Amino acid sequence: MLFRFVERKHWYFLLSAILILPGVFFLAIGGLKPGIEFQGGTLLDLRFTSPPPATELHDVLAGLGHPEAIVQGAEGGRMEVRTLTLKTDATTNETVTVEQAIKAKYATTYIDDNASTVSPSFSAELVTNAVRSIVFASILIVLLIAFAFKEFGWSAFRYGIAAIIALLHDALLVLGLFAILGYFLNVEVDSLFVTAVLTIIGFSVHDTIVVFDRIRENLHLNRGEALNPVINYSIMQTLARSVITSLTVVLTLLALYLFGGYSMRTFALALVVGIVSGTYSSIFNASQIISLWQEIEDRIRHRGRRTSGAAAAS
Amino acid sequence: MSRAWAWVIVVVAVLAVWVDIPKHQISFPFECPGICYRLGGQSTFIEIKTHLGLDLQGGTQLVLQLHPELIPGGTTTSIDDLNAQARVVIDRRINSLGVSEPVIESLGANKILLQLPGVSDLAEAQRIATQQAFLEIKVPDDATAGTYKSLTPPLTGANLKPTFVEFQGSNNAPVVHFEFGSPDDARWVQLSKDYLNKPVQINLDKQEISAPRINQVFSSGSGIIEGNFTTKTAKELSTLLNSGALPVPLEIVQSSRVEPTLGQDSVRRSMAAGAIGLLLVALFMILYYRLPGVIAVIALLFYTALTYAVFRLIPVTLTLAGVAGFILSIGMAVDANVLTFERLKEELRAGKTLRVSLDEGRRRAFPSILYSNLATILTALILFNFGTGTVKGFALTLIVGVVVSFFTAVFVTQLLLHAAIEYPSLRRRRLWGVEERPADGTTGGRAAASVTV
Repeated sequence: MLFRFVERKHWYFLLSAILILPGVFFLAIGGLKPGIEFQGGTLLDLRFTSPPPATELHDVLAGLGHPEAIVQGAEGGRMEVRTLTLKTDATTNETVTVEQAIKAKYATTYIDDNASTVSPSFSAELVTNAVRSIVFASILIVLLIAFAFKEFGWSAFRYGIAAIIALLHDALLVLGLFAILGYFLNVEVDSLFVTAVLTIIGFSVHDTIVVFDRIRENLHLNRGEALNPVINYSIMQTLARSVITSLTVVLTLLALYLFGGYSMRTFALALVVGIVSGTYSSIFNASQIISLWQEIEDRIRHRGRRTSGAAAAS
Repeated sequence: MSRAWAWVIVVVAVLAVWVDIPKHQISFPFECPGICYRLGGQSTFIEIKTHLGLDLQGGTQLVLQLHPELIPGGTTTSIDDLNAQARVVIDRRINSLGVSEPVIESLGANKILLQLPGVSDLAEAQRIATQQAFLEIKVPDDATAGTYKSLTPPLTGANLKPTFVEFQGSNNAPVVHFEFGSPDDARWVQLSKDYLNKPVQINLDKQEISAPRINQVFSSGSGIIEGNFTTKTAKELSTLLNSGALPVPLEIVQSSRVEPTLGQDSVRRSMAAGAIGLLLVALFMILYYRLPGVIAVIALLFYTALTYAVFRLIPVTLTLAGVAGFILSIGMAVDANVLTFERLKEELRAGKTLRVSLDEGRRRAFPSILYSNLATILTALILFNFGTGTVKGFALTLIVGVVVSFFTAVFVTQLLLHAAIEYPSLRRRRLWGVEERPADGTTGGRAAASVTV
């Protein structure tokens, strides 16, 4: 049985585009919502004679429209609650609303509270540094892959570039998904999300290299064979490994998503989506880019030969 | 050769488990909980423990009050700018102590909220956060003997190059080496000419650390600070000087223990979830790959013990981001095994003997494992170098994880696989996940049930 991975490449490219483009649109209109760590907000320092459980306090805040609240217990019966900036204008004073709700719920134990503005604890520098590092790392990865595949000469570079395109595919898919979630459901991204994206990038390159290495080996063993069939059975041969590896990681993450705490949810979701995408792009996109590149090159060369042939005839 | 490797692996495993065990229970054969050594007058003590980040363990919270009114001569800088500058200096100081991912926020305009994971040395944290580290060189005041005065303008540590600790003299006393940058270096040389054979006073935060005598004319802007330093206090001073002086005096107005930001409950559940996930992975590997699966799980246990030991030794502060890096590296460790086993099956199905298949499988899976791991390490190294905060912690755990997984997946798994085929009862084809009869069907009976070695 041989699945036609290469022949149907245009359909796979189309599918990827359909999955990615809406996300890119929402990214462009600023759908990605920065969390408290990046934005700063309000810190409520509450004092109780005996503090309520953090999860319970979180539910109170969530009920008041602040599911992003981070509740942290401290010494001496204090609870610190961080939320995005509580709005105060002519009609509403959120700080007062929140204070009163807590006072009402914990009438017997509540002592007092103190609200202040906090700055972002993570600067934008964290993100720009990460992005800059990724760009730099991408260049090095292209060089590394080119070195590993040096027997192909200059063509080795296209393997590196294809791996980076697959990487962009996975990163954009996850960023786009969270831009959409941010736009419609106000899901915010935090520093954990940044690490999730970095993890996805690591996995994506890893997956792609495994498939490419099989193509390299098969081309080496069967010299003179056409590229497309070799790509086809190389993907076939690595298919079991690709699926099993990402399955094991997804198993762990699924457990984290289902049984893990509240704050783990978005993190696990981002990772699951990214790793599935990484496996998909390594099977259905990365090698297909190599094939497409070769076909375009052949066509140009063919046309060149034809025109030079025509010139010679005249 | 493989026998030597086996011993190396056994020794590493024993050491790793020794490091992993909490030391308050077992400290034999050493008398201190950790690594201690004594060299000459130097003694070093490294406590081995798991460092958990603020999100997983909580830590110490300091609230610092800015006192711009105490700045000598007043200031024209706005309180917001002073706050931001002070946070940068504190961040630099904390970071030079190691990767610990503190939280540093402004709390209103005139306060800074600082959270540090753990409470290992509260006094040190307080010093690091509040010491101004204002270095000034004073010269003898001719008007009153035995006193010192500032130069005009004062010669301060504002243009210092990075300082470092060195050891001097017969007793190897630690001193802090410093070097003035331009234009202070020229003034330093000039000072040595003007005050030759006289003492100059080195002040930190208006207090004398030492008043050495100038014995010769300096040729460069460098010098040393002596004092009754221990290696630790010398390093602390060097760190403080390197991070620059605080632009404004700070006072600790609150110091308290805080719980994990993720919430105790959330952390517990996530840890349990992680354990369930790993159990599922182990189960899957054994069911799918049979005997090699069991070997992979043993290698994974080895991997987990070794990585955890390295985390405790470096030490790495584990945060949720770090755990993510760890999970990713486990995935890659599993992957290296999967790659090898898939190759092994292919070779076995092609009718090769078990021993040949093992070697071929390893040889042919190796480039994929090598280059994919190299790409990951490369990315992680760059992230570690240029990253900040969470990203740095993530990169560090990933680097450790991938390097260790490479070692375990390539060496340990191979060694165990080769050891397994020494036992005839472990050579049955079904144990290796391939069909009972060879494809060509030339051999039959009992012989077909096990793979030829």
